[in-house]
Amino acid sequence: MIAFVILAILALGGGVGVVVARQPVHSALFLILNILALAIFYILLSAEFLAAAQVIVYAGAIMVLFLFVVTLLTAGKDDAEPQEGLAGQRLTAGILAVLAGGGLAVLGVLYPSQSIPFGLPPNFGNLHGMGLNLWNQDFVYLAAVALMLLTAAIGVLVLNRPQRRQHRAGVKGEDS
Amino acid sequence: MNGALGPEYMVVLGVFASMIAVMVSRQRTIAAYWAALAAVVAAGIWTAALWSSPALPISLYAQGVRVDLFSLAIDGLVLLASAGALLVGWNDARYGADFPALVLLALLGMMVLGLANNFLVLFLGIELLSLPLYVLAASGGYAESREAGLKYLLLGAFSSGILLFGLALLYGASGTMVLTQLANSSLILPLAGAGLALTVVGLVFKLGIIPFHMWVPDVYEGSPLPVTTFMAFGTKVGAAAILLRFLFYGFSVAVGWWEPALGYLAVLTMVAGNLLALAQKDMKRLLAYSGIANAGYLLVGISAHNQAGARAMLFYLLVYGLAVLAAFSVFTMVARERNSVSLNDLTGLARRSPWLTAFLAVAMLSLAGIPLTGGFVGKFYLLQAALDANEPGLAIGLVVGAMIGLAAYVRPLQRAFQGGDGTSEAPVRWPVAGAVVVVIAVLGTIGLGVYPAPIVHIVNHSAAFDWLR
Amino acid sequence: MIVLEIVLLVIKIILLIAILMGGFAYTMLLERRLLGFFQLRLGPNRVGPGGLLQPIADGLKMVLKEDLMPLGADPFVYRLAPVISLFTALCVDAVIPFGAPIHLFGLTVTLDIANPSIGLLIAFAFSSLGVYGLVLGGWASQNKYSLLGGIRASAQIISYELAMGLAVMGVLMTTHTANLEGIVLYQKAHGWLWLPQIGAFLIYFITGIAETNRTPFDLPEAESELVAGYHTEYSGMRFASYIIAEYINMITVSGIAVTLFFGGWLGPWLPPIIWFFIKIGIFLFIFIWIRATLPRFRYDQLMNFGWKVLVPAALIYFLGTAAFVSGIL
Repeated sequence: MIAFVILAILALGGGVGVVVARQPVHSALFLILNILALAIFYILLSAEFLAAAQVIVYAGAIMVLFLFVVTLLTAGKDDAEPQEGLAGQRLTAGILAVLAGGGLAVLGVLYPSQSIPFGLPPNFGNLHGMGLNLWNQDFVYLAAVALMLLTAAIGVLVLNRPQRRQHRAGVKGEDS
Repeated sequence: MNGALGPEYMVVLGVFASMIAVMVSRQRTIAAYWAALAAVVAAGIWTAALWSSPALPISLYAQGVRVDLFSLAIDGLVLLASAGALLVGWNDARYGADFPALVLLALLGMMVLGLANNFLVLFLGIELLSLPLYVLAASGGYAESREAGLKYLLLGAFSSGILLFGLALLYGASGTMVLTQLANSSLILPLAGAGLALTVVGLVFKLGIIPFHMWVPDVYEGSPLPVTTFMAFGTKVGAAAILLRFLFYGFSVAVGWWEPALGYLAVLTMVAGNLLALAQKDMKRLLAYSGIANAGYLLVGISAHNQAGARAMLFYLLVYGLAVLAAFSVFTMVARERNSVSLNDLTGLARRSPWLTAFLAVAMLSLAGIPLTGGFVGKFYLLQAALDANEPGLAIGLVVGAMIGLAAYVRPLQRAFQGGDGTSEAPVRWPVAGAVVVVIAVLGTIGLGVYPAPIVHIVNHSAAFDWLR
Repeated sequence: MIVLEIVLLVIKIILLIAILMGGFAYTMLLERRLLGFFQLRLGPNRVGPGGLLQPIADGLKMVLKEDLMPLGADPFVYRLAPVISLFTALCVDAVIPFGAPIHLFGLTVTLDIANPSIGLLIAFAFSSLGVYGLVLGGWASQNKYSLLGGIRASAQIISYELAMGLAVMGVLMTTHTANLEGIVLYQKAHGWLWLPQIGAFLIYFITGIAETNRTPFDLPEAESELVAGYHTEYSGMRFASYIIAEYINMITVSGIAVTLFFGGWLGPWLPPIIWFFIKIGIFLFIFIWIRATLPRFRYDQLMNFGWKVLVPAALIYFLGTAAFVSGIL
């Protein structure tokens, strides 16, 4: 319970920090904090493999790519707040978000749901159990995710295609 | 297994075949298109073969996937959509050799949405549908296209987040992920209600219901024309299919939670969508708002919550899709090198190419719902379903929306018959593939208006939700 | 009993840190002396007999130096970055078994801090976090050379980690376990894995050099182009943290290579832990040898080599191992 509270505070603090921080790099750091807190949550839930995967994939790879872009783009820029399109829109959004989230949390506490009816399967959360699930009953998820990654790979090729000299009639391009 | 997922396997094979064709063939682009089209045809044949299979419905992967007549009908619709998109963009160097593979991947997502019977498959289907479309929307290589892709990606990711949050709450409240078991589990109200609301919001975002429609016009306008065709038809089919399955299977015992809300959204969308369509000068934007309004019509079928509603929705999907295919293939021919068609481009089209104008007229009138076109029959069934469900408000909204829509759809036609001396601009060229699409779509539209019985028969079988009225 | 275990754990942690720090100090001395010999000069040999006290002098110098921070730097991140580097470098070693379990006063003591069932993945998780120290340090310094160094580090490590993971996966499939002790015990029964997994070993070692940012992959700190890369602006103990992290990473990469491919602590006659250190020492020598021999890659060569050679090769070897393990081949 103590661990849960500490981790929850860390995770929530990270989440709030992502939104509040002015510097994109700081936002990224808060996100990493959030990810690591979640990884420890997984360990508490005895899903070790998921925890390791969370750290390797999210913190170790995705966020590094993130930082790669963010550091490149924000170098030497000043971190002044951009003008709001609609006055007070961020404040309103923040208040609404807090109200909605708080409301949901209160509802969740007032009306606790029944526990999940099935117990933990054998080998829960470790490599063995994970593999058995993925290649048997969950294979359809694996296949779908594999195809999504294929899409992403094709997408990279399509979007980074060297620009051909195409006929640009009718396209109001300012770079012509 | 007995080949219940055969159509999906065919499409996956098609993706690989199309990519390999690009690698090995000397004429890269055309080979990719042929491979993709072959896969679509093969999947279609397999779907037809499964239709009479006695084993249906088949549940696979711990009930995660359910193959039944409904999913097969959705398969047929989305296969038609992707065949149309492939032919409209046939061998066009502007879209590159990856266009067919991406279309097939999005097609797979739509088919998965038709099959989904649990939260994870639902979410994966939505993502599998969206990811290729983000790329396709941005694949035009000009500024508007990039803008469309980015907008779609950001808003799509946002809505996916809402959807996922809703699904998580639902799982927490019910303890099951399987839609068909959701109805039997004791739902705890506040959490399940919040989860349902968030999930429905995520789904109607993809469908483009007002007030979640902001992305639709910009994305449709910026995307290359064949992509817009595919989005307008295919995405609507996929999103409507999963919304119907999610609500009819999972929440048919808790009708009171969602039916009124969807009803109001439907009326708002029908009226406001058609009103906004009135003001459009760009044809892609016009069809975008028309797509929004038509999504409202589809929502009528869902919120009526009876068998007639489900049938009417399926029927209307086909009608709408054919009209959209016809209209977009005409626009593609008129647009030629460019990527957009404005009202001015249509001036004098009747003199330049009378046949094309006739086809456009059929498509537009079908969208408006004039008798002897499929649009009329489709709207008639929807009206009937709304009245069956004792929802006069829905019926009134539908009629009002259709009347406003008529004005919006007649404007381009009026422009086509006006002005132009027939010599100032060359007559429009007819690419074979586009001509095939437009002729089939127009014949289908008129056929559905005159003799809808065979399709109605199919639709009645596939939307056999016996537990409804 | 539980108190005893905690005490034991604390002792083990302190010992591990002490060993690693000592290892760092003398690896550095070894490197300087060896580099000297490779280049036909003597290297540092003045402080103490044969220069053996040189690390202590270096350490004193580092501690006493002024700690500088550039004016435009981001203070928090600037201070955090070297800590991340050192922390993750130390953490990886927690799961490496340094020797066979020993029996002490009726207690069985394993020579690692923790022995989780997915030890290999934990090691990877921590080592994948190490790059943050470099990227953040480069960014927080607000200096273009530092920034370029940090960006290079992130690109390089992402590219090479992929091949590294694929290479190690073969060992995992062969031994049916991700527990490092289990992998060593498998090798006790079935022979060392470097021969059947020779492709995986070579790829692992190459990517390991890249992960530690050593020549010929030392682009993040390429002194001829970027002054000193990501740690240009650092001085004093913060600078020392980076250097310590680099050398400890070398020891770690060697330790994992020994555990996965060369039988860990296994060996005849000598006690297991000695064997482990001997094997690590051989690897460290190879590290230094390579540094003295090979010139630095160009940036595009580095990327091409990573993505077009290492990743496909690792993937093919991985698939081959999978086919072999599953009995198809």
